[in-house]
Amino acid sequence: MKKYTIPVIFILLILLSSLFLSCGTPAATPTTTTTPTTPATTTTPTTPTQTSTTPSGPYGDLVVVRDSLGSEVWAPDVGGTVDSYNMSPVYETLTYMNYDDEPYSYYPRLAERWTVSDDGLIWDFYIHQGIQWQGNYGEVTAADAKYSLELLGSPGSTNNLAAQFNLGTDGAVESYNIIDNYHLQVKLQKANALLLFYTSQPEASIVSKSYFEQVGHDYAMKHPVGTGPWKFVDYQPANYIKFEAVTNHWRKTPDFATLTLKSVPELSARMAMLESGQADIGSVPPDKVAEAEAAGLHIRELGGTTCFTTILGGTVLNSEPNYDPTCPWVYNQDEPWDSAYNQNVYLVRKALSLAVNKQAIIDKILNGAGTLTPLHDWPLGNNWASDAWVPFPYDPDEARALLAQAGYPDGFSKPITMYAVSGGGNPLDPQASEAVAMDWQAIGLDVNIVPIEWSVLRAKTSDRDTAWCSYVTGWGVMAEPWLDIFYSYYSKSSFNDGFESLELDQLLDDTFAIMDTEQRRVASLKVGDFLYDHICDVGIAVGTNYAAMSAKTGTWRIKYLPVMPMDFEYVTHAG
Amino acid sequence: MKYILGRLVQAIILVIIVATVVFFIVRLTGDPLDTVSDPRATAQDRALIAQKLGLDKPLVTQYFIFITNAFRGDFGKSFISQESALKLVMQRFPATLELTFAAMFLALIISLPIGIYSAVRPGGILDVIGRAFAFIGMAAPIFWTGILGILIFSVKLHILPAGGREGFVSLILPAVTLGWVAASGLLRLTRSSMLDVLNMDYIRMARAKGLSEKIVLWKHALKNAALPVLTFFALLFILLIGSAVITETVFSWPGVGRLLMSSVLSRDFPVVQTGIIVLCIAYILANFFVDLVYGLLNPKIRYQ
Repeated sequence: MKKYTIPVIFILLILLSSLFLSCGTPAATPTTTTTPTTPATTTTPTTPTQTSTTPSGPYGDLVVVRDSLGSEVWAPDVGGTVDSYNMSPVYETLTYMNYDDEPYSYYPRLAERWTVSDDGLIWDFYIHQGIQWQGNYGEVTAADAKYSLELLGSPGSTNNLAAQFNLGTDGAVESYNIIDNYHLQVKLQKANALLLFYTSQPEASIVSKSYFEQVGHDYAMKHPVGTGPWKFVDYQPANYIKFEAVTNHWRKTPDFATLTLKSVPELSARMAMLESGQADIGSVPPDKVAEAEAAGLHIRELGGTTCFTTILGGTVLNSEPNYDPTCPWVYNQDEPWDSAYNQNVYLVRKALSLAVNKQAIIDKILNGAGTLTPLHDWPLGNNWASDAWVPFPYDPDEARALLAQAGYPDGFSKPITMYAVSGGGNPLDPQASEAVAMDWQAIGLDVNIVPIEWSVLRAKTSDRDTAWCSYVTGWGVMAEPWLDIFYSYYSKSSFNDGFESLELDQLLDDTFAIMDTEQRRVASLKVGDFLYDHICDVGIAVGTNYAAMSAKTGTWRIKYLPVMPMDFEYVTHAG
Repeated sequence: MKYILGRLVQAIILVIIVATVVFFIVRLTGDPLDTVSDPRATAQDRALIAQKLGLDKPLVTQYFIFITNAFRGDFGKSFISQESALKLVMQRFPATLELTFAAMFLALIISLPIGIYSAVRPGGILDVIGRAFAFIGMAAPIFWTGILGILIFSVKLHILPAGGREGFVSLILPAVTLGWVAASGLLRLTRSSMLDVLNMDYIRMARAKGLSEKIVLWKHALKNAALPVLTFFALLFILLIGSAVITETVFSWPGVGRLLMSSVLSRDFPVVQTGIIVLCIAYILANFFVDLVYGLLNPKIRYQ
């Protein structure tokens, strides 16, 4: 028996530890009804006062966990949005947008100033003089900006903003002209009110022309050299990207000496790394906020950054092959909006909205942190929204009555397919979809919940094949809310969330061409009016995103960002 | 030599069949332009991207280009990163192999001795514990045991990292998690195989001749009992590589499984095709290796 002692102890230890944890309650698991408390860290960060004991330059390591590192190539014409955000510590853009401002304002970055012609066709960017490329590749010039934007918009570019920067008669840009070393002129084919927005996005980062030409595109895209506060050091595919601080950076020298972005796809593992101190910053879903706080992490709230909307698929132009008039909520756009047919459709849409208990979704799924909105990705309570847009109340009785009035007292002829989408806008999308489906079932509708990957659903949206389908999406709110509609409901795009209308297209085109922000804001309200008047979808709520920070970190001038947090040079040490 | 050449021809045919099936099946998942291009891209923008990626050609032409280039070792470029698909897969393959071999090593050192002694002393304490170990290992999903491991050893005890691949310590949790599953099956098979062999006449004869129990067990019984175990072990290798995607996701392990998963979702066809072909080749090699070892274990087995 003695010889069995070691294996027996080993096996017993494994079994006992398994039993111990499976019987116990995980530490600090929050109840879904807990409302997160306002964190102490939401105050405006200030520059930390350094004591005599702290090192004079950047010190310490900052580890950030993310669910993905993207495709891990960093050139303007390849990769995706995630790659652009991951390399934002190294690269910088011509302009910078401060999402916290009202109205959204643009600030200088590599371009110290800019001008635009009255017709909105000619933009002049003046490059900040004296900014050096890392690795002694000289000074940033207009040639670098021209090279980067041309590469971004080059034929076959997979950059998300390629369509905004491509050259040619059918492109967005007529020409990029270098007026002098520090002056780039961009001539557009048609006015683009959002050029400053696009030039402020990480996808439009500026790269060094001489570096790309010296080392070659394929090498440069794996070994980025930029002007940012961090220098690329190393990466291991799907594992980490490491950076080190640039001392005496022209804009902001980081407080931490190194920055590591780690790829941790599993939420539980991300939480474990944050709670055990193996990571310092990471996004946490609302239902994990209490757990994170209990583990000693401090929470940054990014309010109003995600908008949950129930898409009612299938309203496409009648000319589309997948136009399906049997779907009860699909308008017939060959008829006037006030025709009997379309009025009936309106009643169905209103019923579907009234049937959804949006406040319950806020309370139970968004952990109480959210505000109601009736429109797709459009927050209320600011001057980009109208007071007339009142969220539809929760009224299942009225919903049933409206369905009966529309000719559907016993529900529809076919079941609704409610997609619970994974890998899309927000990890909470599937839960919200199930909540909406149950509300619709409660008024007598037949709803099938079908799990689906976003990439699969995306193909259906491109084919306009979404009649009888619905799904909840929680995408980031854009700088100007109407821009989200341009992304979601513009019939000329390859992607469409499920509502096409030539009238809406015209409103979007009109808004897009207005240079003056105030006039554009007023024009955009007409877009919102259209959405509200036709109940283009069932708006739910604008929710909050959370970032957890370890005890060794202090403040962070984090920006409201639709995709993922960045600006790690503004993270300070604790104390 | 003739046998080896025959197997080589079979292997090449098998790889071509797999490559063909995968090529056409992945294209049923949808249009990669939907995931590669800007949502606001016009038809012209999409056509340019399609041209760059070679998706503008007829499907059959695409297939022949793919097969012809594959014979030259060129499996195409990733639609997303524009890097060589083979390079991307081979970059990740060492991580997957490291995890798989570590799990198999753990499985072997746990399951063989326990399996053998369980067979020698059926109903004994080690047999009972071994069976419980195997049942739990087979019944518990990998993601559950993985997360339990993270909670105990990383969050509570702070002795092991929760994820990533940085040094030997980061290998321990994923290897134990994956190894437990492998050990469970192997342990059960070793036990039952040994039980069968130990009841055979030649073992009784060996004991009757007065051979020591050690020689009976390790020299006479194990050699014969090892054949099915070895077969299972080879299958386990490919099973573990295939199922490593869950372990890789839970432990943020940068292996082929995660690459294939993300490539399927983003419809990065060249990477999916290359990954599956590489796994297929690994499977063929593993089987071939087992066939050779059969001959060593049992001289009666000869290949013509």
